[in-house]
Amino acid sequence: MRNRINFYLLEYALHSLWRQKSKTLFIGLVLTLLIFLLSALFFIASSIKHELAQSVDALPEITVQKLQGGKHTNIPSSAVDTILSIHGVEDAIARVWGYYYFQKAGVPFVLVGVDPFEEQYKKSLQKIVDNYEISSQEQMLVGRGVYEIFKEHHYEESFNFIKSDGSLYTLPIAGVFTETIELESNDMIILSKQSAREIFAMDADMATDIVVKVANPEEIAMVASKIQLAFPDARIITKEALQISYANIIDYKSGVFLSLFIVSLFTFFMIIYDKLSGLSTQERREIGILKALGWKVELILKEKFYEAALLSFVSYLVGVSVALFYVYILHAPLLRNIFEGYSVLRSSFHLPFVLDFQTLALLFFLSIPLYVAASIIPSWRVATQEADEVMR
Amino acid sequence: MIELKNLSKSYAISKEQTSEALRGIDLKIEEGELVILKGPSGSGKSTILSLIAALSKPTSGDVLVDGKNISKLSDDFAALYRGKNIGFVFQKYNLLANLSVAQNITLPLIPLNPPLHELEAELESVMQMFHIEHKKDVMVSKLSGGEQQRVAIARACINDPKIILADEPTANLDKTLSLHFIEILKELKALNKTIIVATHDPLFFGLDFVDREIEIADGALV
Amino acid sequence: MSFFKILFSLSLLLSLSLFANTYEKNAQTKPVLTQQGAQKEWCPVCGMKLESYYKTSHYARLADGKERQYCSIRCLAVDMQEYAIDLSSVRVVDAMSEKVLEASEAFYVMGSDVAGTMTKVSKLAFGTKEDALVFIKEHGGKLVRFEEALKAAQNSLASDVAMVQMKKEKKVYPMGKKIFEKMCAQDIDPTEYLEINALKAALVEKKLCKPLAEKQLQALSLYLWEVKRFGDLEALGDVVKVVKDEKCPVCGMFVAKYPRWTAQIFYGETRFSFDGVKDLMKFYYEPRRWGKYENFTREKISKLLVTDYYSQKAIDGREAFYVLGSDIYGPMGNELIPFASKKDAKTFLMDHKGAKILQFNEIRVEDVYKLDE
Repeated sequence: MRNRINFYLLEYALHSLWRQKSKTLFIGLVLTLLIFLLSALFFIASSIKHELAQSVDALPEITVQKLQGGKHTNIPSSAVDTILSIHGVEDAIARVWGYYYFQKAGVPFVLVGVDPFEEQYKKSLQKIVDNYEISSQEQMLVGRGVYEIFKEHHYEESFNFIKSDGSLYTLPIAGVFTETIELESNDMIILSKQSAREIFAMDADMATDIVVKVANPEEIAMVASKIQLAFPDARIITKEALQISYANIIDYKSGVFLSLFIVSLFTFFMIIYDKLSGLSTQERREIGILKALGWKVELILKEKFYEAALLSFVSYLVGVSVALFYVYILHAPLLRNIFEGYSVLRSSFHLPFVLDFQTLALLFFLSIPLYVAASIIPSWRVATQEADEVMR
Repeated sequence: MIELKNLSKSYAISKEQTSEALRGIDLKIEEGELVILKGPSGSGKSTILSLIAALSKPTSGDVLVDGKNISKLSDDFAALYRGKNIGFVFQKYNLLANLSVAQNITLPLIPLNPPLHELEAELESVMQMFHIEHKKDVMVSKLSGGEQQRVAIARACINDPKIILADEPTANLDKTLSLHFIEILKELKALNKTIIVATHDPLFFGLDFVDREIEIADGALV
Repeated sequence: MSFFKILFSLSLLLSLSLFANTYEKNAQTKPVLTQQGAQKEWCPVCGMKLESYYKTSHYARLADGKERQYCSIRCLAVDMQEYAIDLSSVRVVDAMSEKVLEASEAFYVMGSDVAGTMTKVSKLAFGTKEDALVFIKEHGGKLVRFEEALKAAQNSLASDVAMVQMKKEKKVYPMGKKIFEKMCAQDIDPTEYLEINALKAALVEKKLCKPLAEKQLQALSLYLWEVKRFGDLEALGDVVKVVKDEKCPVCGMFVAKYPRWTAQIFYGETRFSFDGVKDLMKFYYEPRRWGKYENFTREKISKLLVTDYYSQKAIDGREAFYVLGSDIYGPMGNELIPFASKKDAKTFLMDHKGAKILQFNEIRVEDVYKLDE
């Protein structure tokens, strides 16, 4: 038998699709829409995951928090001295940070206090501190998303923080930074540790938590256990644990996401069911005729396969392409609201372009083989009957 | 070269009832013979053609073509056999309405996957033989009855089959076209093909170039 | 809104009460500063602000009559190493009344729950025995006299210094350097001054730097006094560099895959990289065994680098200390794990159940192959 591709068959398949224009178009559109929806969601999710992973990766190896009654409370900065004396510890930094709820806008900001003469715990932070002069004067740097919110509420040059005792604390805006990843610049404000303490009513010798840099990853466990010994009431969080929990944040838990997913699957299966429930008389007749003319069952199925594969593959390509455009160029209007849970700021959703081949492959194998199988099976049933019966 | 040996075929109408279309037919047809199979509708003519074309299997008995028992062929081999040896002109033509003339005619060739120039050559020759080359790319649904018939015949001939079977070919044609068909029959006979025509059209009776007339009634030879 | 107000004020109250538990060492009254000149605000040994540690402050007179005031008994002990000090002249601040009294008459509480100044064990002085006992009731500790307190301070000096030294090297000096580079005139010469507090006074008086908070001033001064005076911070060591396709001549593995264990020998221009000290030593002893390396004799070795376990930086392998038999495995299994200092090696040995510590020239070829068993 010839091993060349039977181009006549391919041509026949194409023509067959063309003959049933309206049906082809309808199914094509539905498939494309489904794949578009699914891939857009997948792309957004994996981009966010990527951003989160990056942000966690930048964190130091160990974070030390003091617990009181199982809840986080401030830790004395002097703990840094004890930790520094542990072998393997490259550096220990007392962090001063917290959330400030801007009531009018209904959004929380993350206030990060820095000491400009200290080695920062994150490279992006270091870059910002190096690039901008946060002197001991009281000023602050804000992320782009924060700045937009400020502008919305007519705070152009400075902002008034409300301290815990009700009094106002005004800080002038020294600049807008863009050095961090999108996720962070959305809600982050950088200021001096002093100012942060002022706003949060924190003592000068206390810190929010302490981050520890360990040069050799193999020593992390040992260092963590030594810290725990020194501070029995502390919670020691390793970077590894953080990475796992961050990955879970975006793991398809949002209810809306789930329901969208289910709806699309449902629609998809409806199409398949429709196909499986049998062929029209005309289609049956056509198969019978082809058999009578010398077409083997195998050939008939091959032709049906070409039809289904062509249609679904083109739908896949179009769906994925449009999704790429939608997510990375249009920045996913409407759909992005599903993911707002992780960052409560309405802001520019400039996601990093992450082409995850696993996702693409998953989509491919979810959509195409299913549809192709659904198309072939009813034809197979008909084709194996006696041609004579079919044509009557 | 076609031999029917004690051939029987029955169909099930309901759970208990069966209808016997053929009862123990014995028949021999030589190569190159033009045979008219005559009998009223329901007499079993179509069934015989269907069995010779291996489009269905007999309930009992054998069909031998060139010594090969084609009644026992598997589905795939039956298709192969058909593609190589049989040209069938159906009563209702069974053309694919949304395909063009050329597309319809070349359908039997697709499984054989010949090189393009070969396919086109065959197509040309057969279209010319039956005078429809001028309507090559027209959709068959737009053709007249006669033209459709010619397409059906052309399709039946394109794979150069040894055996040509025609089931009531003139049932839907007027006298002129029917006579025209008989002319075509002559040409086909000249090509030394084995031809069996099942019909009850009296136009076919008593023709001089017909080798044999076989009568059949109620599933048995008369 | 009102609910939040209540919550906040409650937490304020709570923190205030917690306040009562943190013992404040800074002066509640006006501190008595006995030194001469602007530098009288700071301790001449460690540079810290005397007012902030007033309650542990000690006074002494040198042989030439000069008055010295220290932040703590520890700094007194340090100063005693350099100067002859008449112990009978030593005075101390009463932790309760903040009055100055003779050290010989004071009652010390040693080892209470109050943090020590520049030392692990705190030593606070009281004018009367009763006051001291009351203090012990609340904060624990034991009652001693000046002699014993001083002795304890002297004995723990070495470990006290070590305790602070790590912090200084890891944090304070780098910070001081940054402050110096960003905020000060670059021509400051610390050798012009006799004591650290004189340096500090000059920095403030002559405005040699932009305005600094005390903490920053202290970091800067420590950097200038303890580092810049003698040179500068060693450029932070780098990691051992390998290229992507360098293979270990002993085991054939790609060394770049194991950056934490990389070791290298340089024979002039040629270098060999290994995925562990064990393989390096195998090569070192018998280069011929691993290929046509007869020409690479020990005399030709120009440099030998290993990766320090704790800092992951490149250190001189011939000066390093190696721990054998620990529970940490390299890519080739049991390893000789390198450390920059013996202290580091000792700590590691204890933490990771090491068997022994060897210096480079103590490593015998049998030790190396024994690791493979």
